[in-house]
Amino acid sequence: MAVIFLGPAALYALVFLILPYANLLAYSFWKVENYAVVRDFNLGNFQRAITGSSYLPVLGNSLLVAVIVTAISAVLGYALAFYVAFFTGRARHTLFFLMVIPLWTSFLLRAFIWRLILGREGIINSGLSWLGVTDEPISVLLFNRFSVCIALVYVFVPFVAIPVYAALEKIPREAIEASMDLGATAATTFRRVILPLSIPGIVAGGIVTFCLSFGDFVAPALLGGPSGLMISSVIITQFGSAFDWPFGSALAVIVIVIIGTAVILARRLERRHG
Amino acid sequence: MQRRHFLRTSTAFAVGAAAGLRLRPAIAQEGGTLRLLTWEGYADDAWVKNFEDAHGVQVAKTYVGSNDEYMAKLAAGGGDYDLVVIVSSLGRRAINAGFVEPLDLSLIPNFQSIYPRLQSGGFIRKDDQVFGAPTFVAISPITVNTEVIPEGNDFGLLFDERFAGRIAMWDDVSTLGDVAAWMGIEDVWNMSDDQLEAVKQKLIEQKPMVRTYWSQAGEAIDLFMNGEVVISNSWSYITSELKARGLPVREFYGSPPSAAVDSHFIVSGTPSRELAHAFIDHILSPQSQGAIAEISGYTPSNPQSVDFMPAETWKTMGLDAVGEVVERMNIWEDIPRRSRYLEVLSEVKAA
Repeated sequence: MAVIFLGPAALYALVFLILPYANLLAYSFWKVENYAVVRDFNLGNFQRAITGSSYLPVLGNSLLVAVIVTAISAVLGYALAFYVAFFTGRARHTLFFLMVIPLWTSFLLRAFIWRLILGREGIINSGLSWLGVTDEPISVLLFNRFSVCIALVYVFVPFVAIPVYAALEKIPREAIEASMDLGATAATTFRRVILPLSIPGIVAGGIVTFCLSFGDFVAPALLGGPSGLMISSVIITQFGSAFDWPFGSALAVIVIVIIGTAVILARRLERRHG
Repeated sequence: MQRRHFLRTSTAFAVGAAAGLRLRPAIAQEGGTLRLLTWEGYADDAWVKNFEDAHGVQVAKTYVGSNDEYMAKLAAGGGDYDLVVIVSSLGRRAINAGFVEPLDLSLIPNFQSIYPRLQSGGFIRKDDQVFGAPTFVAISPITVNTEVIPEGNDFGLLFDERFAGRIAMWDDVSTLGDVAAWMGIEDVWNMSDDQLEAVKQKLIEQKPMVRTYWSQAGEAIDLFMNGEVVISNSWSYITSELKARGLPVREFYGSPPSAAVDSHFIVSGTPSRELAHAFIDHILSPQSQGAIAEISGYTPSNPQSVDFMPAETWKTMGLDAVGEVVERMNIWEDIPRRSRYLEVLSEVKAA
């Protein structure tokens, strides 16, 4: 019985997890010569990633975007979940449902829609011009880090709000009442009771947001403009037109290490405060 | 009832398929099949059907979605195909790798009537042997919105302060070639470090004026349609698509422009060598090339096609001027330091 159930799972892990990662790691130490991959162990790819003038700035930009998006999504997502969990009464389930609906549509579509909102002839510019506020369309709304962050925050707020909402739901109302009965103010109750109990939700949502926005390709490609280059685009180029799979693999390994470190730090934070 | 009907049809289908499988070798012996690996649009019935009828054969078309795809198929053996269309930047690589075999030009009389510049292109030649027949030419133009930029035919408009914030650039190594050519660099696919650095600095200088870099034609069309940009180095397809959607645009060529040339090559070891030669001669003929221009809008490689397309087509495609452009354009060739070129593009964006 156990074999029937666990056998496919183990096979899945082997085929879709262990082998691909091992392959990626192996490739990162190989090189390309005359459009053929040479299985010759060397550290050249990692050296190039560190010394090349574009790779560290691009990694830095990805990190910056990921930090900004995670911070804003965490605050907004938390506030949204808090509001829905405690202040909406019987409309609570409907609102939660509405929060989930956007996740049914394609991520690509949700990023692309921001072009239509922020563009020169987009909703905001048309509105401002109609109201007579501006004569010329405002072009700084689109094709920069700002527009990438807005789109990613919009996409990832539910990713934080949903686990936080689940955590808030589980907090026994008696615990909150007890705190208030014992004379704690609303602020103290939030700080000493609600927040600590909802930290696992924030960490879970925050990790997902950080990882996915760090490695996002769609938003920077559609909305990033001339300066919005992020690491995923560079990696994709290596596997496409550059035909340098080993170098692309090395960059991917670096991304995995950075994200892995961030996840470990977050888990530690959670253990200390949770 | 429905289920039984389904079973009956599927059984019939299976039997038919099995019969078909058995029949296939017999047909091949009778008339033959020519297996063509190409792009959709490059093998239209308008110039394939008459070949099939004339030779009593079938042309089996397989379409590719990217240049990497056919190179991968050829690298995997290529035995499933007799003919393949290869872009000029990969021609040399395919020849050197032994994916394709030399042509017997005596079987392709029409080769002599294509533009001389294309006949002598390095991307189809090695050691005095010719391996490919240039069939389709794609010159990269600059597309401009005529409402905002009614006049001027200079590549430098892409660097003009007046259009700051409304300039787009194609995110491709071809752009490096375009800019280098405009800066007066000769061998644009073989730039030295200093030359690449100069091009990079030029692009970094331009960057604050650039709205965005695009990589898909659809993206560029969208940028023009939404009024985000008014000028970009581009593809003829983009200009014609914008015109079709009613946007006032025009295009002109840089000095000199870059161009991709797609050629038909014969896959090494094909059993249908003669038929493959016949097909190449057929697709280079003025008749086929005229049909290609008229139906697909690709620039023909055979100028004698003028007599086999409507005068209007020749005129709207500006083919009078193309003859001269073909002589001076920078044909995409293999870029020996391709990864460095791509790195320069990244460095511009990361600067």
